[in-house]
Amino acid sequence: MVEFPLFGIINAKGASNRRPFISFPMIDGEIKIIENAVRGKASAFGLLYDHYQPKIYRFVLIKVGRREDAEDLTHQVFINAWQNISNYKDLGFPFSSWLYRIARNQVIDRYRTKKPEISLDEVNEESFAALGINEENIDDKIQIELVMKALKELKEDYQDILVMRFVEDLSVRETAVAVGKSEGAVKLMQHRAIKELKKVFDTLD
Amino acid sequence: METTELLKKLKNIKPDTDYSRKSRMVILSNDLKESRLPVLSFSFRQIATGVLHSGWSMALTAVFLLLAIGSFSILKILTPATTAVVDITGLRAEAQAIDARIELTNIVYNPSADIENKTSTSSITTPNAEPQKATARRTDDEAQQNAADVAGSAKSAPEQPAFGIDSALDILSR
Repeated sequence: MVEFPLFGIINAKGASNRRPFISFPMIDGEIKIIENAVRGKASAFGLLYDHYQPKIYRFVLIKVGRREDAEDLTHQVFINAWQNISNYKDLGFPFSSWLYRIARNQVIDRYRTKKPEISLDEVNEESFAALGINEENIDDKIQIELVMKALKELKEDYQDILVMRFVEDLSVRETAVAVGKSEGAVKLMQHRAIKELKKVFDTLD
Repeated sequence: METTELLKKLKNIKPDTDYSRKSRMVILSNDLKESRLPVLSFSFRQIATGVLHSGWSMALTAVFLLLAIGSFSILKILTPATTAVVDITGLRAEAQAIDARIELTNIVYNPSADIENKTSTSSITTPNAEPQKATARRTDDEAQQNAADVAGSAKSAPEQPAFGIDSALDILSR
């Protein structure tokens, strides 16, 4: 069971006044869609799924490194979200933060003991396919593999913050909500994470 | 290349469309439990059904109340004749007479016990002797009165044994 201490029942009136910091691209009329999804409308949740599933999948894949696991976990994330959507409370934070939070917990639960590994030696057409990377350019493919390998060398929190901030373009506030830390802590961790990642790139080169 | 620029390359990762379609279908076909949304699931039909249910129960209660009150009134209308026949004073007098006869009968059949009682109360002085005497006196008076009432009717009765009513009265009058 995933806990969502920051979320509860949606409050549409307050929500419209409490969304000034959102940088994440939202669906048109997302508040209304979320309200309908909270009421149990599958079609509304379908819209949310279409919009957020690729992002959650990407986030999970970067963390777990295997396409099958990422697909399985992403599926579980959305099942959990759908089953617990009545507990969702809009406190001014975006829906995506809630989903990322579920995804993080899901990955932590799955890989509490086992840490997946990706080796650069395995870089070939097959491994790219296994990652779900459809890039035509081989250089891009290698770079993607390299970044993923480098990210794996970082702490879990650093990985999450870098992916949320630079891959998913979440604001500091949204990232802070998703990882359960203060905005100041996120800024500090982001700075450290970039430094760490640079070091890792240097060693890989 | 900048580190952040490298990170942005990861945006090219996309899920398989076939997987996404299947996953979506499975998740959305997984219906939410109705009990999860009790407050938000009110529909016009549910409200109407609720109103009908409560209406029916209220109507049935009203019918039962009417039947209960109505039957009581009908009983009251139908039974005055039977209640009018009853003579309360007559019944009371009859009851008193029956009472007297019983006491008298007791006196008739237990004369020796009465004598013994009298002798014992006079010979033995107990702390509650006075109340006992008073009680005995009261019963004697009552017995006399009852005996006088019955005397008329007892005249035509067949002769009593040797220790009859007269001797009992005689004992009592002492």
